[in-house]
Amino acid sequence: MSDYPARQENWKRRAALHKRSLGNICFCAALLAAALAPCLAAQSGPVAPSPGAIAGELRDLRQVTRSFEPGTWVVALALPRESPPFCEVVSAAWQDAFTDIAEGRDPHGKLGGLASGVQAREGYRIEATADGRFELRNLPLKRRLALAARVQGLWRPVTEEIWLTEEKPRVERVIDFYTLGADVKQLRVAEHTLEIKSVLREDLKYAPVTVIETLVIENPDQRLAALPAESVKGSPFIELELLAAPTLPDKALLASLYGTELLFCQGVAAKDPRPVPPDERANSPWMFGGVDTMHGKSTQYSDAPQISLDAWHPLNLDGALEFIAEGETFFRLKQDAADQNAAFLVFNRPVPPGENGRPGRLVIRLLHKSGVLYSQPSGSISLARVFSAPVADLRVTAFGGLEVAAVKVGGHSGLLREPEVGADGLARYAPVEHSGNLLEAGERYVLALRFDREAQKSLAEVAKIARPAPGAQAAPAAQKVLNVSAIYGALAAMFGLGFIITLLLTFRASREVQRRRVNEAHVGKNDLLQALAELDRDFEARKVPASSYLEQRKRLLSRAVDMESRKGQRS
Amino acid sequence: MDIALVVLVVLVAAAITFSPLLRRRRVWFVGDFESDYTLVVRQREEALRALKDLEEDLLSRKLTQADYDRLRPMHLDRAKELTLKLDAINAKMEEARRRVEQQLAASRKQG
Repeated sequence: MSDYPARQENWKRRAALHKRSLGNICFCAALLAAALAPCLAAQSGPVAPSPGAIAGELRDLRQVTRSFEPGTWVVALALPRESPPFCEVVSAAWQDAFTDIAEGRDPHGKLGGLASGVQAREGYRIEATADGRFELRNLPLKRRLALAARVQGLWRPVTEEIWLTEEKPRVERVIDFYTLGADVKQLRVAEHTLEIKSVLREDLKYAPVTVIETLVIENPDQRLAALPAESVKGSPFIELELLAAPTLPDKALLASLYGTELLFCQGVAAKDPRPVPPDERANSPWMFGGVDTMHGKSTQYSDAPQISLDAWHPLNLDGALEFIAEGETFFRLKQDAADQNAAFLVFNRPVPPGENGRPGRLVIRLLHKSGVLYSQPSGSISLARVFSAPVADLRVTAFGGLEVAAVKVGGHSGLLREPEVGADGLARYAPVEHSGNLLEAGERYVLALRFDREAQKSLAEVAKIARPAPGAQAAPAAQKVLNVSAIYGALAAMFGLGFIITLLLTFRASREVQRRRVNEAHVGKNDLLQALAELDRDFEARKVPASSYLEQRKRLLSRAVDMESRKGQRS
Repeated sequence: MDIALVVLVVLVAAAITFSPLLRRRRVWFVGDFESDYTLVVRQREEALRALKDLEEDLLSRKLTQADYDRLRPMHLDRAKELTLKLDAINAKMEEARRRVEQQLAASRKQG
């Protein structure tokens, strides 16, 4: 019993220790909970379901598809604030983000644009019922929502952005589409027209040549749209090689030059031409949000649904086209025979069915630029084309002293007649007389562009202005650059030699021998007196440290005294 | 033009680098030198050391008293002689030192 107080004290201490440990653990847990609170709150989602909803139905405009298979997903994607209007987004590559959401993955790919695009991570999906109805619920309010449905593997978007508010949290939309399945062998390129122009600019190294191509692809089917099945999965349907300026180092850069060196659009003929409305937003049209990125400006979007009218596009200023949103247009690079990049635009867009007996028409417009170097005025530009459908008509309009020739690869005659030059100065090339199609499917043809002789003379003159004649090179020779490398080389040689000499001098005699040599200096008394006076002056001028001064003065004085004493001895 | 410039730069660099070698050599001595004074000082120290050795040898019985008495006057005379010689050299050197200091002061005044 005597050690009871000691044991009691021991237990008290142990309990205190446990209390302290428990306190530490609780404190750490509290810190951890505080740090994780925002993450946990974000993951747990909204406490109350959001009232936003989009209801609607899928509607085949030709009433071919009336029931829908399981797996027909409808996706609403919340666009980021900096995203260009959804109607612009769907004019390039955009489907991957919707596919990711439909298949339950996080979308990582960029949306819209050829090179950049925006990233949208927040998406909502629902499966359409067999009769094509759907209702997406719990959607966020006051967000720019993009809506699309995947039918037959192809995303069918509603290009108009949806904006839900507290006042109007529920909207209804109809997603129109054409059923795919028309015989692609019935397709034909009804028109392939090129407008080619050039304006000489002395500030460039080449004469720029701008080519605006228009392709009209017709589908005679009155019920079904046409797109090859493999093109639904990404295989190229219409692939157009792009021209590039001769000074462009790599054609891979073309993707980032959209808006300056490259423009495109695709659509169907508008029923009523729509002129550009007097809206200030028309000044920043269809540039994937970057109309003036070359000058450091970018389009700013407000917190509201965004729209770009078709008639704002630089290739559709007269509103002749209604843009098609289904399918994708994307940039592609291939290696040519010289191992250089060749750039292509792939248009995987369905050709709509016809109406009232007339064929459906998909119109593609492409603007791209090339040029002829002033130093090589006789140079030509070649443009190769091949389509999986026959080409019925090929027409070229050239301006600015340009000549055009078109030949079928493997053929022996040209595809174009002699040009007719109009009063407006335009040379118009029509196809040679032919029966049936001008070119069959898969036949490759090449258009060659070059300047005529008069224009070549102008190019040569510009080249002379840019490059002085050989005799006039004396003046620039005065601006000869100093050969710094020669100076460095000479200095390096000198110091290298100095290093070798110094190295050789390190092989010296023994210390005793050196001391004897130094002390054997044959000097007279006057020399010693002079040396002493000089040493004093140097010391006063702080050129010699005190220790050296004292020691050396003592030695010099000893010598002088010794010499003086001997002199006295001799005398 | 380039060659002339290169040569000029090299010459300037060489002049700056090697200019210390072209300075007039200062009269400079290292360590002690052998003179009459140092010779006499050393010989006197040797003579005094010999006297001391004789005493130690006698005390340690390495030397007999007779031998000690025979050798000691010889070493003592040698030490006396060298001491007198050293005193004479010292006096002479003191006189020489005084003259040198005077000449040095005179040359300073002239300078």
